[in-house]
Amino acid sequence: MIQRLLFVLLLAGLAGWPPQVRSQSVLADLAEHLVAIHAGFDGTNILVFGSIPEAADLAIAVRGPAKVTTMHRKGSVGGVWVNTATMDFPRAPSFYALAASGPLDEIANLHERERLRLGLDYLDLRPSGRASENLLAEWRAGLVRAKERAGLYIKEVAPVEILGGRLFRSSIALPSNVPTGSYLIDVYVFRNGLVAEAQSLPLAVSKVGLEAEIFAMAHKQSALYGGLAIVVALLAGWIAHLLFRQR
Amino acid sequence: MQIYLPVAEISIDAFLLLGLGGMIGVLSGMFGIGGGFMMTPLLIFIGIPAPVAVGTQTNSVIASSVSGAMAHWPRGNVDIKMGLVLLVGGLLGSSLGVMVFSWLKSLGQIDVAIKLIYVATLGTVGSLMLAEAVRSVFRRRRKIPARKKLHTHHWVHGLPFKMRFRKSRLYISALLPLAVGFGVGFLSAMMGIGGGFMIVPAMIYLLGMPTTVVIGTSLFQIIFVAANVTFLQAWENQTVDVVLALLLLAGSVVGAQIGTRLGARLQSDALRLLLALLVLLVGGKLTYDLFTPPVDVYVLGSGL
Repeated sequence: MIQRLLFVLLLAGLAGWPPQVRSQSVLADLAEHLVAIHAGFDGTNILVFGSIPEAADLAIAVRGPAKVTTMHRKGSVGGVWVNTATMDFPRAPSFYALAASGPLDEIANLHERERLRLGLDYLDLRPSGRASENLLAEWRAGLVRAKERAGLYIKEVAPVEILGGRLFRSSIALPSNVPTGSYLIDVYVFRNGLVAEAQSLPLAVSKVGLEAEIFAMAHKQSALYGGLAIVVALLAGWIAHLLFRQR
Repeated sequence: MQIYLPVAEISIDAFLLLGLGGMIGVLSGMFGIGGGFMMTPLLIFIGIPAPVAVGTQTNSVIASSVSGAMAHWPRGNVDIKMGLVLLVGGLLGSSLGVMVFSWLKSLGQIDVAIKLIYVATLGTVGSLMLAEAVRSVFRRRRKIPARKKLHTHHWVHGLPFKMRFRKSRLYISALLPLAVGFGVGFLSAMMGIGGGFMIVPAMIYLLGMPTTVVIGTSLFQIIFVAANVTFLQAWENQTVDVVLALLLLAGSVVGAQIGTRLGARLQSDALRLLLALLVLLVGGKLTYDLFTPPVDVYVLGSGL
């Protein structure tokens, strides 16, 4: 934390004073460029900070890597609810969260939000199959709702604190089930509803340590993993038997 | 204390998992069953993806049947010949089960299929057990001795490939245990269980094996069938989470000790009645879920 504060102060020194230096540009960074998912991982916060031009508005979008998202629609077949239709959305971000210095509707005009795909209503949700516009709108809304329920699309816009008109910081929460991969954090500076400047910051979310190795092995050396799983279980059963006998 | 499960890719309270394992362990100690049929639905209820619940549960079945079989081995309660014939059927059936599992998974229907199979088997076995338990309770009340036939002849005794099973004192067609092994193996692979609660009644009522060797023999063959399913699930579907399996195991080992002591104090009729009601309760909850309209008709496919 002290390190972070020092960094912010250092940055303030570089970008904030004297004000004429880089006064018209955004300068942003992340406190951590790697989110490590370890055994005790229970979600985390990413801290975005930096400086912006005076009297500008700010929006920050956190996008997880695009992954094929498979959606099902359930229907009642003889009273039992089963998946009756399926659609793939190859470009859907695996995670999406926003932070902004004020209400998005006031900061950015609609056309700009659509162009930047800013907000849950404007995500790139083109399906791999074909469907009529009406149906597609339903599927898209369904996907956003399902992702919200899973905690992977965040509806609430996180606040951005602006200090002295120039410095900003914002803390955006990542849940414990956050997907792994390369994230992009886009910082947009708005003036009069239009984007004046933007900066993209990469963020890596990856599993580390034993968890990473177990996952990699399960997927890349499945046969060996299966064999080891059996051996581990056999040993566990044998140990249980020894404990049981001693009592 | 949250712990991240590497294959299920979610983080969950480790004590919740230990507790679940413990609870199922108590039940399995009390009733002398593996308890997998209770564990898999519970794992699904707490949010583990259904395919991972099934794959992982099979992994812990290996451990519990090893420790069970090792306890039965010195008492000579294992009919190896019968076990091997059941095993051949079991390996074929469970391999087919995993193939069907992968196929349904690719269709996006695996969750519903798992629940439907649970409803069908729990409903059938639960009702049979309940009927049997109620009958035996009434018999005891009225003090009418149970009639017992020495030997009955059915069409099954005319089947070819007869084999002598000395320990079970049986001379029956090998096709029978093969078929039993196959059917139970198929269902266990789909359900992620050892299948003790299905194979034990089948061995007693269908094959006519003496009860003394039934438990040991079934445990013996379940070890290998479960190992086969674990391997195939890990290989084909990547749905075996060893961290989850070990946590569940640790809980169930301790729970089984408590359960065995509790079970010794209860009467066996009452115990069977309780077990039947429990099986029907789990089946009932799953049935209710299948027929209840979902919160939202649009759902995410499990990304596994």
